[in-house]
Amino acid sequence: MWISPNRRVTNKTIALLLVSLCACDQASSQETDGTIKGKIEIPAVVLPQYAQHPMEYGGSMAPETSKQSSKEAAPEVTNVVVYLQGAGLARIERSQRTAVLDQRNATFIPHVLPIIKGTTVRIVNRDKTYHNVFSLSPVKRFDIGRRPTGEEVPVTFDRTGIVQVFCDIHSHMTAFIVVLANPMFVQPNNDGTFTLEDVPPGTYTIQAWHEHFSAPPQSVTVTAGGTSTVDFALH
Amino acid sequence: MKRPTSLIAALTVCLPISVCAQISWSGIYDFEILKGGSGSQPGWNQLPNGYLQLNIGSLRLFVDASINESITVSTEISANRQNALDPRFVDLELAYATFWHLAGNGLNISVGKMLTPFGAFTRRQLSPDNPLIGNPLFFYYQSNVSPLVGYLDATSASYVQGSYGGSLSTVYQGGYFVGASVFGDFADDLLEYNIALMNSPLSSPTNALNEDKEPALHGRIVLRPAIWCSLGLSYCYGSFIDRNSTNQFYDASGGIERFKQNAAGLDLTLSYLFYEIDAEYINNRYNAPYVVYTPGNPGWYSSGISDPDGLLLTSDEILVDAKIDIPFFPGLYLAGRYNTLMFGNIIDPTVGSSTYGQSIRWDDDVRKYAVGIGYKPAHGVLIKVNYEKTLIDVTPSPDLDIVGAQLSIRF
Repeated sequence: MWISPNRRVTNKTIALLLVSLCACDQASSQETDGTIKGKIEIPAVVLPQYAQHPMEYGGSMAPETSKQSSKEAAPEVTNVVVYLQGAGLARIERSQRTAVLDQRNATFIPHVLPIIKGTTVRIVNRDKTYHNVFSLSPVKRFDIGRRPTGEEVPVTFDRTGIVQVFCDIHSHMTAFIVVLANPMFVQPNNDGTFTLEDVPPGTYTIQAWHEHFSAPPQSVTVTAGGTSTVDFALH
Repeated sequence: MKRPTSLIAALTVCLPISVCAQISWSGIYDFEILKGGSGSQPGWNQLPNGYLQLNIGSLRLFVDASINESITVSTEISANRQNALDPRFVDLELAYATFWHLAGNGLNISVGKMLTPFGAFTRRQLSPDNPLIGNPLFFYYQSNVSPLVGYLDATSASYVQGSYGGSLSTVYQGGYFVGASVFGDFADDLLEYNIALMNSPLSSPTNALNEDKEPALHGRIVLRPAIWCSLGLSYCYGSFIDRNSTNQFYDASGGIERFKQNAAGLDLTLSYLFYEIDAEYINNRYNAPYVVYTPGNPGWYSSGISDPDGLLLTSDEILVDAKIDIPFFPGLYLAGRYNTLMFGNIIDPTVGSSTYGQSIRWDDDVRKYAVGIGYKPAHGVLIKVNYEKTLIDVTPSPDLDIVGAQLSIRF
């Protein structure tokens, strides 16, 4: 819609126009895109973790840190990443350009960070002690050195794949940055359910990634305005 | 994609009284290949003269348990092939319980077999934390003092591995002692303290019975004025002579408890971005007896000096480690070490010696230089290549240099 520059436009008019545009766009999206819903199940076992002891030789770390992190921790199923692969998905407009990987209580937050290729992750130390974040993954090797409290370091991920991140000072700290080719991904809710919205109609491969468990990829067909269902039982 | 996880066996036991325990285990495996000069014979790798040596350095297994949110139990089991004839092929190096937060962060207590709080290097002796392959001199260099007979003169030093009970390094290798420690931190980690009463002072091997009647005091205070700086002050005081039938005469003249090791240490760590410097200074003193060796009993039961408190044997040691991570090649670092051990003077008590009655050094000064490169091809895997040269202030100077490579795998 074009508005003459000579015409006086009030804020109210602009607001109305924007609401109209959003409504039209939403209606259009609902008509042309589809939705994928499903549920993730993972085994109810205690997962292996990196032990802390070699780092704290001589014993100087109270169980407080693990206690705090376990209290704050979401269910393990939320560390699954469900994502689509297929032709044309990479052309979908990318809204995500930056993401944040925090270090709090000697723990990476989030533990699993899915991003789109090309995203810059701001790595931030929120602890009072040094952290030295690095990765030796072939997808992205980096070492940001020892960084004090509050310091942010941007790292851009230009290749798709799994980047496992560690702290050189606290050997038990680990996180995964899942670099994906398109924005069609989601992490499940606490109950394992997920909803992937605004999926263009078509047939795709859908996968569920977890650091310890796996399941075969599945094929899913999305119709305009329709809802497809895909469940994964990871093992 | 699966990560090579540390093998953790997590066991959760929930009893009616709501006690939960989690047991985890992890470990480090060291493998070394070393080539030494004709005089190289450091205690920790048992290099035969001038030969290439393959060593399975050690396998350390850590088993930890959280009994609840306030009590943890930590153990380290070590299998070490450096002395294959030793029946104690597997050692329980550490085994202690810690009671946390008895008064906030300021009061925690550990009880059992644990590391001495003295100094900074003890807590970075594991291969992933040590930028080079070898240990500092104070961890292994055997000086002319014995836990049975005290000062070893030129004659008795040659019997050091025999009936004289061996000689002593400033810190017994590993730094493991039995006792209890109180530790904590204040002012948002600005100040940290650790005070321990142990079965023996730094020099005494923990497997010696150390039947003296007094515990040894070990302590350290750490000040962290900035995130990039920590300054530690350490102290140790205790009786270092072990009771033995050969030194029973000490009891008749005041007991073995009067022979003390008295050590003070200062350590400084500076680190920022890709650079780290760890420096440590130790002033070590022994009040050591001196027993005259004369073939045939009971000759060497007699004291070689008139002072009942023994000879004052002093030494000063400096260690400086520097490490630079290469930022454009993640996983790669360069490291260097300067280490020196300087001995003080005594009045030579050896009757018949050409220097009898004169001021002499009680042992020969030692300097050690090392450079190395380390590379982490994957998390938990560290490869080091290291060259070190040791110079002893004696004529002729022995050929003490080692080229070594070490592979450490943490799991």
